[in-house]
Amino acid sequence: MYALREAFRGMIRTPYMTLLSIVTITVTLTVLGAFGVATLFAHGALNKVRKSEEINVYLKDSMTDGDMLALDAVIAAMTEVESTRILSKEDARKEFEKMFGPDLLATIDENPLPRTIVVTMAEGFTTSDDLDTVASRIMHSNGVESVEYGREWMSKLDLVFVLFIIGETALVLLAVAACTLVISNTISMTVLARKDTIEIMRLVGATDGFIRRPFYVEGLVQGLLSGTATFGILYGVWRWLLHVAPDIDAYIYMFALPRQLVLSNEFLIAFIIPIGGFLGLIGSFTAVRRIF
Amino acid sequence: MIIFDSVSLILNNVKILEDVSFKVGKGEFVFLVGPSGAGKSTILKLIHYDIFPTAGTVTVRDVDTSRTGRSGIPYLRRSIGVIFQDYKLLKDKTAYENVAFALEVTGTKRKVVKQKSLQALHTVGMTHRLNHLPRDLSGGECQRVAIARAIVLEPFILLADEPTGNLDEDNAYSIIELLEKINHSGTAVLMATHRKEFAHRGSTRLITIKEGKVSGCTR
Repeated sequence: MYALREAFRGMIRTPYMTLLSIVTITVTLTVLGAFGVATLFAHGALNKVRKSEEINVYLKDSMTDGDMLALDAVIAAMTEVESTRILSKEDARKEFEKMFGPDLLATIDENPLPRTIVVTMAEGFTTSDDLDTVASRIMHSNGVESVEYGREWMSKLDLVFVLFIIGETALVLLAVAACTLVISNTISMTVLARKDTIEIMRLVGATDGFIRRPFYVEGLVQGLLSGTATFGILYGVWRWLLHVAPDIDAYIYMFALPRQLVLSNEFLIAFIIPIGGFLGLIGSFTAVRRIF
Repeated sequence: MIIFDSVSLILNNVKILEDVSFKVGKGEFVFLVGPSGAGKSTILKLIHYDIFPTAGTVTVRDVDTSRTGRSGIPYLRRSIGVIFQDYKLLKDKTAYENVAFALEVTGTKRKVVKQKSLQALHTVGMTHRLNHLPRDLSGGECQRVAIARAIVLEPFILLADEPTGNLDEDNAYSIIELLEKINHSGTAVLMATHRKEFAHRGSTRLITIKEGKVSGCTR
């Protein structure tokens, strides 16, 4: 009770510093939160792109339909594979014409395109390594002419994903450091402003824990207030986005975000409040330990 | 009760105290006299667990101060009252709040805080000024409030570091009389002062400090 009362007194005693601290942390947390939401979108988008990656298994003309169906069944039974689809020579021709127009094949009498088994990878098996594994297993089957997939492109996508995670981690660390530093400085000012009180507390036998507690509470309160303000901003922006683009939910589904994330969006954004509190606590802890 | 046994103190390569030995018994009133810079305040700090001797031992109520863990010091300090020349009152708190503060920060129950604070202010004759801020009090009154804060925790000893330094003659003697009154109720008093004339009163004892050494001791 004493700690809480003194914490609020401390904030009232240095109102501008407290306000500056809360505003700075709010801005930092907002950037962090917005980046978090952007990360979810980007993560979903990358997964969607990965999921759309397919392996084309081109078959020899000499392969019998029975062997083709048997091979298709073997591939479809693989753990890494979600589904397969057989394209006949005619289907392949239609797809080719759809992509490049009818003129290219018009001059050739015989359809040069092979029968193809199109393999769609299962969720969780979409890295370039997974594609490599499945492709090499299929390659050695009888009747297979060649196997094609965007290997190089997938490797680049993996690299982008890794860079994205590194960038995200760096930003989170930067934001955490910034918030901690700001709160730490504000609390340091409060500690210095209360130097006389601390001296007298020591004089009459107050324990270090008792002396420090109000400062910890002050940091926690500042962090929680900043977190709440950030929640207000992010939630407001989210509601506004829903207002101007009502199909944003569908957009998120399109990017394959887990459904529960979308359904509990308020909860997800509210998570920024305890994060603020935690950073506040760390900041005040650093300041108090540095001074006494 | 308080025993200094061959205590020496060196701070930043400067010898502050050298081979200081003396005792303060239970309920005694002892004057620590000497010129400024002789080491009087240092002796009080050694008793209050603020600093620790380089050599020798300081024993406070059977406890060797050097062997006390950091976490135990606040609890031991609660049995030692301290007053200073500059009072060290909190400017934004009234006389009553300054006294009550000592109890609040040591975890005393609110009901007891009120009762004991009023009792301490009554002892020092400040009941009529309990709602005044330090800026509205005279120097003598501020020192009385500081004494009330020091005795509210019912210490076994009151350390007074030049408590009359900022006061005129009349106020200085009235503070000495107040300290004598507190001493008569059983609390030992160790008062550091450069004014020897205070010591020639009643049943007090005198320890003279000069250049960090005990140069004289009565009785």
